[in-house]
Amino acid sequence: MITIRHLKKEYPSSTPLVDVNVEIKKGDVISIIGPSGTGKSTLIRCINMLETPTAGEVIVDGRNLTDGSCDINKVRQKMGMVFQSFNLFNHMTVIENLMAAPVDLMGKTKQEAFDRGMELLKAIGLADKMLSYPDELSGGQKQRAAIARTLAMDPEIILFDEPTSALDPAMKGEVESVIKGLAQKGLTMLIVTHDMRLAREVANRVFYMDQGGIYEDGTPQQIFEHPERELTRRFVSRNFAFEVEIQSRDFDFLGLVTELERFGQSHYLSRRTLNHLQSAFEEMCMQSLIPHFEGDFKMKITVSCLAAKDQVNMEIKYTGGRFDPMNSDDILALKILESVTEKIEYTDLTAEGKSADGPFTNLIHMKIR
Amino acid sequence: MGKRRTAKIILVILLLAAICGSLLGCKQEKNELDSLDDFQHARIGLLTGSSFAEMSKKTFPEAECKYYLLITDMVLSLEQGKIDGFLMDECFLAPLQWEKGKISYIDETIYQSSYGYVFKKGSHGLKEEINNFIAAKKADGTMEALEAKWFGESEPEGESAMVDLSDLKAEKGTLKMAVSSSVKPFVYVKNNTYTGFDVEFAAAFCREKGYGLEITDMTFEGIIPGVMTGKYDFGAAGITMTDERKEGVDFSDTYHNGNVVMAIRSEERSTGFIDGMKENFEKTFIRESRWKILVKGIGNTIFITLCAAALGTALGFGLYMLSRAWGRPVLRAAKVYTRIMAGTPIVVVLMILFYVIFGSSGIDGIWVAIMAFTLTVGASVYNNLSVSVAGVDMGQSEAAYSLGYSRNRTFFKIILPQAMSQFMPFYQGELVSLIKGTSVVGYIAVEDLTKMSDIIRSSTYEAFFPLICTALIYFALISLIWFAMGKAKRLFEPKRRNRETVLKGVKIK
Repeated sequence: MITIRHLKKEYPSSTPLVDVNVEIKKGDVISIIGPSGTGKSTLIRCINMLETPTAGEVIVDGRNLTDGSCDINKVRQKMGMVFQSFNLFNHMTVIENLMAAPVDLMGKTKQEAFDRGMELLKAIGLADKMLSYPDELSGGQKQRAAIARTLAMDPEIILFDEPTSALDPAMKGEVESVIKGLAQKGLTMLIVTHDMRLAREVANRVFYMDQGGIYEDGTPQQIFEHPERELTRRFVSRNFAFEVEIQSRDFDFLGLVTELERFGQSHYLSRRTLNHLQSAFEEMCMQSLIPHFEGDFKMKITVSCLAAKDQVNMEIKYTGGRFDPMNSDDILALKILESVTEKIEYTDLTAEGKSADGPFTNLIHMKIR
Repeated sequence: MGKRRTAKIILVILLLAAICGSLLGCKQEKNELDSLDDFQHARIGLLTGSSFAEMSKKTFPEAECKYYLLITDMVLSLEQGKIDGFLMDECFLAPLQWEKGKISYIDETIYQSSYGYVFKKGSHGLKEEINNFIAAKKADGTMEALEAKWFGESEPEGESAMVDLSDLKAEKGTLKMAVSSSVKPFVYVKNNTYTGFDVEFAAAFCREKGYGLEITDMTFEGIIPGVMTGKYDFGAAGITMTDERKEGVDFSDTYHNGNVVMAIRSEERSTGFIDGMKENFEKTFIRESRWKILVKGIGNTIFITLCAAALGTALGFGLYMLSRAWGRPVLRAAKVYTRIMAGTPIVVVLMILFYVIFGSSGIDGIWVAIMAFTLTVGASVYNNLSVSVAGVDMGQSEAAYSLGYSRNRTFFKIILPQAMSQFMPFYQGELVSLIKGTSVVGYIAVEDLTKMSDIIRSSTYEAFFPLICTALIYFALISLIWFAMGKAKRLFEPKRRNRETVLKGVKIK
């Protein structure tokens, strides 16, 4: 379906694509992941020629786009693109956004275009917004409408350029489910995303991009679980941590909960995991540890997660004599902790063979479920 | 509430201010300076571009000089006490006596001046012919009769006051004469045609020698440049010979010798305020059907504005389209062009076009004015269009391209409609400044509203009604444009469309 040979894209100050060679089959749903600035967006923008390649060939359906004689506009009609910033036409209503290109470019009558447009809007749940203008929609609604606009052209290929990056977490879900629905329908899709969960769940093939090209190409299973190459491994097993110290009973509890929430969202943790994390924090620190302390205390909480996995660990270090909260008699708190974690380990840092970390003498490690 | 009421309030304030101003203006004491010696430290009015300035410096080195464009402005300033006197030739003061007698003069000649017609440097044939004619008319007493008629104590009335140009037979071609109608009694407008000493004399010359005569009215200081560039065959407007002028143009022999005197305020004539206003109004609009002059001026102002708006808009859009199609070379040229237009006062553009670029062609000033304003509007339309289009998010065109729209269709279907809502407010302001800007076309002999009101002021020596009336007419024209553009602006606001328009031609199942 798409063949890319020796594709090179050079800017005055950087060369994001040095030499890209790849074959994309009909029906492939491909996630493109990788660090910022490695040419993920540039690659898909070269495929529909929004960026002109410096060298190399892009062949779509047997037509060589890099050959000057190719009618790129014709090819684009069958190759939709969904943008990070939606790019709905601001001076048109939603339904006009969907009707414009089919009427202007495919020769459909207004009625045909309207009927097809309404069908699509119904499918994505925006039928009642048909006469709204883009600035009257929420981000998620805009992106759904933009996807519908692309579909109105009956494309064979859809390129997604970070389709959920500009959305609030609450709205990511609605757009994700639309994309997942499309993936089942046999469309060829390329999705550039930073959302590892989306990348993993929707695709049958993943490109990890680095060092000026597709560094590793494989199934989601391979890329996320058993990457073959070093940079891929480093990327998918990146560790993100969040650390906070508490020294008073009157610390800003709500502020801390909010920060946990933000941390979870920015690393694409699922709602469920995030809720478990918050419960674990509340039961362990607020219910068990803090009431136990007498006088001054210090507590350090570290939350960490892996880049590509919906998995998070919490580590709590604290001062005072040996105290294992798991031995306390607060049955309710223990029950809750048990239900939200996979594993809780207590370590006495003053014991033989262990070393205390500054003033901290106790350590609890929790693996959140 | 809102605009309309604000406009009314502003109007009333303007009128009140004007009336108060003119009331104060009327209450002037008699001049206390009544001998030339008193003027050593006085404020003296001088006509810009006249020969009086040099003489004033010699005679009154300590005095404060103030420069005016029109004699009528000096008369008003003198009446209102802004100056203590002005230097003027006796013969120019005659019509002031005809009109009202508020001005008198110190009967002591400061210096003598000689009047001549001006020709392009080094010209011969016509100059010799006129010199011979002057000599002949001096000899047979005609000249003396003309002087008595035009510089006398009362204004020539009836048929003798009019100069008939219709019987001139252009056997030897038509002569182009540059004049300024602000120099009563040499050249002025009466009953909507040119008359005065110079006009009658020139007509007599043409009649005898078999020429036709075409008169072009312009500002006094525009005459000599116009003649120098050969745009006109000769110039006449009570022009005195000075060494400086002789460097630029040739003069005919002297046809009149004048005495320069100091004009001062005389005893105030006591007409009541209401009567004064009535008379002022009657003189400005009714007498000699002067309102027709104003109507003609309004016509010209509207004509220039409409033509320049249409052509300038087309130019700006066209240039922008070219710059899209051809890219860099056009962009560079357009940048230079818009910089030049933005950095040059419109008066200068007018003068350059009229006297330099079209100096020797016979093109009418009104077309030059349209050209100049077309260039200005074009530059501003181009600039504003570029800014408005650049203001539309890049993503809009990328989205259109990715759907398969071509570059041109993307521009017209997606980008331009969105840019227009940015562009229209700019454009509205541009047209308003265009109509105001046209008020300077008098510099190149175009008879627009402002120029016409100057012509009326020059023959009535009244300021109140011509100025207020001009202001009101501009205000009305601008309101009209504002209103029309406000309507036009709505066409480019997509959200004003209703459901029916959006869904036109579509049946909802």
